[in-house]
Amino acid sequence: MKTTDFPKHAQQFININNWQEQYRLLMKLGGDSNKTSQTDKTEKSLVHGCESQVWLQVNQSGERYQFSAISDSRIVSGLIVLLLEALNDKDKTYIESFDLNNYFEQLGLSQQLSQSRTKGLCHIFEHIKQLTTES
Amino acid sequence: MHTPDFIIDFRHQFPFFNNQLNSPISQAYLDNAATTHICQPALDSIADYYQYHHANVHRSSHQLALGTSNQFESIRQKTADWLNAAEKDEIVWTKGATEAANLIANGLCESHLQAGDEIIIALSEHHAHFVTWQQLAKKYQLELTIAKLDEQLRIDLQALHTQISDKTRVIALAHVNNATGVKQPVEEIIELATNNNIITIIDGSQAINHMPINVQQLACDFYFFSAHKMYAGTGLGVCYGKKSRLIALPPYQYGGEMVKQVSLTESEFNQLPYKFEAGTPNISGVFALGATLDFLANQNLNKLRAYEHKLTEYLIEQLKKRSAISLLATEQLTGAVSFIIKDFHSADAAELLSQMGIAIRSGSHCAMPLIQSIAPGGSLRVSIAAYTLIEEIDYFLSCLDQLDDFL
Repeated sequence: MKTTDFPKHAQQFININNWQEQYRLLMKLGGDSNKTSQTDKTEKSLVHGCESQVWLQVNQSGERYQFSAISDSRIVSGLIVLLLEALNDKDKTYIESFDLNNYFEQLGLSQQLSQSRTKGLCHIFEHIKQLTTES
Repeated sequence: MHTPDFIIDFRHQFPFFNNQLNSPISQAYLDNAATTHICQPALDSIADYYQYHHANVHRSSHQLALGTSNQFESIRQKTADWLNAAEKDEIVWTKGATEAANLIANGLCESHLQAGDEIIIALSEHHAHFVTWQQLAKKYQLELTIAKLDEQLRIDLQALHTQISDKTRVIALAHVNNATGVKQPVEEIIELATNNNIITIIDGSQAINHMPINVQQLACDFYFFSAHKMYAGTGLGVCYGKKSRLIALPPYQYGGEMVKQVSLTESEFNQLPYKFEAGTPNISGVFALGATLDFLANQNLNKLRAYEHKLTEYLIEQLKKRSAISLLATEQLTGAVSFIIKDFHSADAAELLSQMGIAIRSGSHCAMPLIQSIAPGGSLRVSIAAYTLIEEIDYFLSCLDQLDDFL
């Protein structure tokens, strides 16, 4: 992925160079997403194994997938926004070959995030990949 | 308010803080309920043990081994004295509080309890105690009764009276709860239990660093804690049991040194406390605890504890001033204060505070049954030790006030 290829919010995130602003953006993205998201908070959509609660849903139109997800943690919801804008409207082949670690590294998130957060996001990504194989 | 000089002097005995600049403060270690930092004498004793006294205990009879074994046993005596146990054989070394909880519970299930017997445990227990009894209750068909809490998250004594039945055999509870910092009325509960012939097991992990413990006065049957919660090293637990109770318990693990005679088909087990100490124990951990007890014996503990109390009161008072903050409990807090912040998931607040150099715990603190019932998003827990500076609390509070900027 070239720098110019980054989705809107990811690009916004890359342009920031201090942690305060980065977290402010994550909190804002997460807060907005939690207010507007249509994700159902049901037992069925709950992703187990995360530190905070995460709900994830998928829709398919043709070859392409649309995911929506939120968390009771705003920072996690913000991270999900960054993740999903890279994966939404893509097909199965793209999603399966997507390099999550590389993406977060390019965003400069790898150094900032705790291991449990990174693990949680990997877990969500694995869940996304599983949903594409099921559907 | 400023930290008094005697606290600064005390703090100088902890090498972790030597790398921190005192002013201006840009970090604060407020996760002492998870683990305390090790004191210099304990650290020195670990190096000293491996450098000059390293030998296995209670096995070989050469001079080096004898010296180390004697030292090892003298620390057992010192620990017994520290807790005012009747004799040193009532002190069993384990790898931590969790192993002690498992040793006692498994032993009682095998030797003392029968299907249908009742165990009372508090909603607020640490998973080390709670999950252990929950799972053993399933395995041995015991009834698990959950002791109710009052509004201040203290065990409801009146309710407990009615919960005790003629089938109640064991009451298992923490002296101080790790998730809330609340000191429980263990004295009253032990008295009530003893009058009803009920065995009491007290988890002292969060009490040991903040108050004098006198097991004979408490008159509990078992009391356990981890050494790393009181300025010593990790990997060592202290499990006190009344002699008659320990004698009645079967061994927990099998192996070397816990046996007297072994034939092809039978083994005769060693006497107390060795029958519970299979395999090579954590010798350097015991040496570190010994050095810690010597170090603490030379401190004015009353003064240190009075300071801790003042610091906790100050923290509570400051948190109460902030309208977005709700404390889970405000009375009988010992070493820790637990709270939630309006509009903040506990993990988000802890992550932002961590970026500012604040070390606190967030989430359910290994006490899910309690925390999920009163604070589903988890709580934030600030926990102090006698080396915590007032300025660290002030720095933490100033960071807390900056959280609004992230909303």
